[in-house]
Order: sequence, then C-alpha cells, then structure tokens
Amino acid sequence: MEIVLAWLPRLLVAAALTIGLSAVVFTLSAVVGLLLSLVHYGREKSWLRNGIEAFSAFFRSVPELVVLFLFFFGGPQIGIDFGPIGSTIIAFALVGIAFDYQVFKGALKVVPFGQYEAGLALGLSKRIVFLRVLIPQILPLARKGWITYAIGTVKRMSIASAVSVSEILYVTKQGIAATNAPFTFLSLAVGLYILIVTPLLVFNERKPKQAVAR
Amino acid sequence: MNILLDPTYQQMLFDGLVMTLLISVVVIIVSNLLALPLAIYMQRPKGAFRRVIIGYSFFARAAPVLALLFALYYGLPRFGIYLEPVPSALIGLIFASTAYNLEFLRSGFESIPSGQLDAAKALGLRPFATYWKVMIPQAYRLAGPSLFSNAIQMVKGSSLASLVAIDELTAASTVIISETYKAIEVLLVVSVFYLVIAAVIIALQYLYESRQSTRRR
Repeated sequence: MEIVLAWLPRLLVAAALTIGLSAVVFTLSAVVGLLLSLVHYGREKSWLRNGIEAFSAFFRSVPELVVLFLFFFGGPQIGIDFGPIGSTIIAFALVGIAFDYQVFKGALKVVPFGQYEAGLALGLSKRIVFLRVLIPQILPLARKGWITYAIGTVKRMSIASAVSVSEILYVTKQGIAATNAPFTFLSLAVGLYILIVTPLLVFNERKPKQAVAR
Repeated sequence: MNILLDPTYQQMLFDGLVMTLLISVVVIIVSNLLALPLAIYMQRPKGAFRRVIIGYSFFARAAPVLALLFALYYGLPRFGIYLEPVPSALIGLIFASTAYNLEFLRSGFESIPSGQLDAAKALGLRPFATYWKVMIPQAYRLAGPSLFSNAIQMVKGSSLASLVAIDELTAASTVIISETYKAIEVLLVVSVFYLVIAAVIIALQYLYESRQSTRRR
C-alpha cells in the first residue's frame, strides 16, 4: 500500500503522457487517414492511389516496434534526432494513418458515387461536396473501426517504453525494478489502461444514429 | 549494405526469422484452436463459465500485450514459477490472441439467424452435427477476414517478445544495430521479412475465400 501511494503520482503523470500521446496520434491518423481516403475519389486507376495503398500495406504489416526503431535509431543515422517522443509520434501516426485510411476507404465505398456526381451537377464545389455530403456520412459508418483502432492506440503506446518514453508501462517497469513488486505495479498499470479505454469502449457500443441517404 | 553480407549477421537474422515464424505459427494455431470451443460455449444462454469467459475476454483485450508479457516474465517468478522465456512469451501472446479470435467467432455465431438452430433440430440433427455442418461453416465465413487480420497482428505482436529476452527477428536487428550503427539498412531488411510473412497470410486468405465462394455455389 505504501508502495502504491509513493508511486501513484509518477504513474498518474505517466498516464497523462499516455493520454496526451494517444490523443495526438489519434488526431493525426484520423485527419490524414481521412484526407488520403478522399484522394482521387472515384478514379478506378491512379498512380497516387497505388502509392497510398503501398504505404498503407507497409505500415500495416511491419510491427510498430520496428517502425519505432526505424525513426529512433535510423533518424540519427541520417542526422535527424527525433528523440523518444518525436519518434513515437511519427511512428505511431504513420501506422495509424495506414489503418485509418483503410477504415475510411471502406466507409466511403458504402456511399453511392452518384451523390458526389449529383453534388457537382448542382454546382457545388468539390470541397463542399466532401465537407457537407460525403464526410458527414462516412464518419458514423467508420466510427466502429476507427474507435476500435483508437483503443488499440492507447494500448500500443506501451510499446514506446522500449525507447524510454516514460508512459505507463515504462514507469511500471521502473517501479518493478525498484521495489520488486511486479504484480502490484502491473495491476495498477492495467487498471490505468482500463480506466482510459473504458469511455471509448462505451462510446463504441452505442448504435450509430444515421444511415446512408440513398 | 556490406554488413548484410557478413555471415555472422546473416546467421543472426536467419535464427531470428526462424524464431519469429515459430512463435507466430504456434500462437496463430493454438489461439484459433482454443477460441472455437470457447465461442461455442458462449452460445449457451446459461452456463457457469460464461462470466469467467466474458471477464477473461475483457481483461485480455483491455490490457496491452506488452503488459501481459511483463506479467509473465517478471511476475511469475514471484510465485516460484520459473518458465523459460519462449514458453512464457507464447502463453502471453496466446492469452491475448485467443480473446480476439473468440470475439470474432462469437459475433460470427450470433449473426446466424436463430431459426436455423430450430430448423436443424426439426430435421433431427444432433447438436454435434448442427454445429459441425451448419453453424461452424457459417461462423467462419463471417469471422474469416477478422481471423486472418488478427493472424497478421500476432506476427507483429511476436516482435514484442524481443523486449522479454527472446532472440527473434526484431531482437536480432537491435543487436546488429548496436554493433554496426546501420539502423536503417538492418530495419528495412527486417521490415521486408515481416512484409513477406504478412503477404503470405493475405495470400492464404485469398485462397481460403476463393475456396469458400466456389463451395457456396
């Protein structure tokens, strides 16, 4: 109990870091992933889309830890030191973009292409059609896959402990080394993860409100 | 690139690749074998272990895989249980993977209209035949894509075993990097290995799905 009280402040700071990093990665992945899914919308064949698909396949197949090492160890090799936090954000955002791109692409397929053509025929600009017609429809459709991935992002942040980012699991490891009470610390850590993730889980269980207009 | 021509490093990468493949194959097979009976059990409206399974599934999916690996690696010796690193990592990865596979199969079973169970009963099919011939093929058709993508996740998850003293592919790369400082070259080669493994799994998925669609006709 004393151990817990002594280490709790550090664990809470670590939890705040986990939440902060996850929020940054979540936002970057969702925004860029969504934008990429709209690139060359409606075109069957496009070199740009093939490039995006290759990017997405790469970052979905390679372990996060390897991508993280690529920036953490590889950066200094070409003269750029991203640092632990920088490498973490870049690596996890790239993997997140690769996944969210697929989620939004899938949702976009459900919306009939005629809606886009109808919007343009009505004289709306492309930007307005995307912002007012397509995106409001794909967000609820994509929500489940998107939030499920976001939950994973919080948990995957634990991998950043490998490059000494002092998030929850890193502090937990330090605690274990200092006090030799692995179960106390790991229970606390898992408890913190559950606390962070539960609101997202609850949000994800709710039914989406609107269906696609036909 | 000449470090990759060094036989010592080639051997290290090869041994690491073999370990990665070994861990991945064992985890994928065992977690699928365990998930099916659990998912079938969950189809009962009542059952003493339902809550245990629900609790297990929640816990295993809420806790980061790395935390599970640490619990087995640092935690078990406290109870006087000393496992070798490989079995300990296998248990952690299987524990996590089974929960996901269980949920995919569960939602596969739940999407089958309940009338089919009644119809099977009316036709005089026994429970075993009902599951084997009616329920399981349909559940797998629905859960198939998720099970395959979880298999890729587990190959990626095996890289975490490098953080609990297992010399698999990622661990081999960190050792070579610490000796040569050629991070980008080594990590790109390792990435290609992972890409090829994922490509093989995706190819198997296409094969499986095309077989399914011909069978359905």
